[in-house]
Amino acid sequence: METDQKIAPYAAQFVPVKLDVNSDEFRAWSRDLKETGEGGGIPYIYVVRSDGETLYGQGGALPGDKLPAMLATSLQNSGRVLSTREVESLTTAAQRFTNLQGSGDMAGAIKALNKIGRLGTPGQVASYAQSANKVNELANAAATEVTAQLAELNDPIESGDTAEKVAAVLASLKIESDYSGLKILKPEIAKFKKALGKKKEISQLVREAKVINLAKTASSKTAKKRALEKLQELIDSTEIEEIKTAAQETLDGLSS
Amino acid sequence: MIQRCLLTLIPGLLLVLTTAIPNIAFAQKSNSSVADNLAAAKELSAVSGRPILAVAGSAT
Repeated sequence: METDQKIAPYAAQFVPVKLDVNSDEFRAWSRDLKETGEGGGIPYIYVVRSDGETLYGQGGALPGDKLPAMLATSLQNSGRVLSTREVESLTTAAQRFTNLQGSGDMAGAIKALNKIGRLGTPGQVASYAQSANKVNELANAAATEVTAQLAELNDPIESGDTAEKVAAVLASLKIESDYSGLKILKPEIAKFKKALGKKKEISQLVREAKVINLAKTASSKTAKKRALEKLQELIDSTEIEEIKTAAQETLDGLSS
Repeated sequence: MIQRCLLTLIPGLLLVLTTAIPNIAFAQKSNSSVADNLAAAKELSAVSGRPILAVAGSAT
């Protein structure tokens, strides 16, 4: 009875299932599970996290405080249990991210992913539920891809000709605009920006490229109008021919 | 929609007590197969993030 009372608080936090050791289903299922200790015969007790990881797998009863202690330890490693509303929030965020990413709106996609709010940082949501895994997978995949893209920009910025430098700096600025909302990527972007800021020989190029990028990313009508004016000023004043070309192309694209 | 139904209905539907671990209701529909119950438990766990607690004993 004492044991019953000690177990009761944990009951709702698990999905309990009773199996027959001689059943085909148990044999098939337990084949994929790992033993976490020396077996002691029937009953076999397994705690399996929602991502399939075996947290406890051992034969033999757990008398006295051993069972509640095992359940408590397992819960500490099980991640957050989600409510229906939280599952919906994560599922919706993942779907919107995928849709917007597909249409090329990365800034919008990341904004959609960040709608999970208090559930945590996309990429680091502390739950092993499918919907949380999906959000983490999407955020981490985006972070990995962007990290690789930034690494590829180092060479042209370092040793490319002016046209290559302009293209690479503009690409890095676009990445910054698109992905600055992705928290797990912030250290990588900050590191890249810091390194770029130290290259005094291209400081003018970077400053002028920012004007072009600002025009490309301006969203409100007022901001667009102001950005177009700045772009025209840049075209009239820049000494870097490649910047002038890129600015003119942007202006033409935005004016049409 | 399926996930919502599972989260709402399964805990209420699947209740069978066991002697192996007292006071814990086991995910078991009396008229369902073991395979169905196991599949339902896996689905519920995957959706909610709750771990599965499985106790395997002998039916004989």
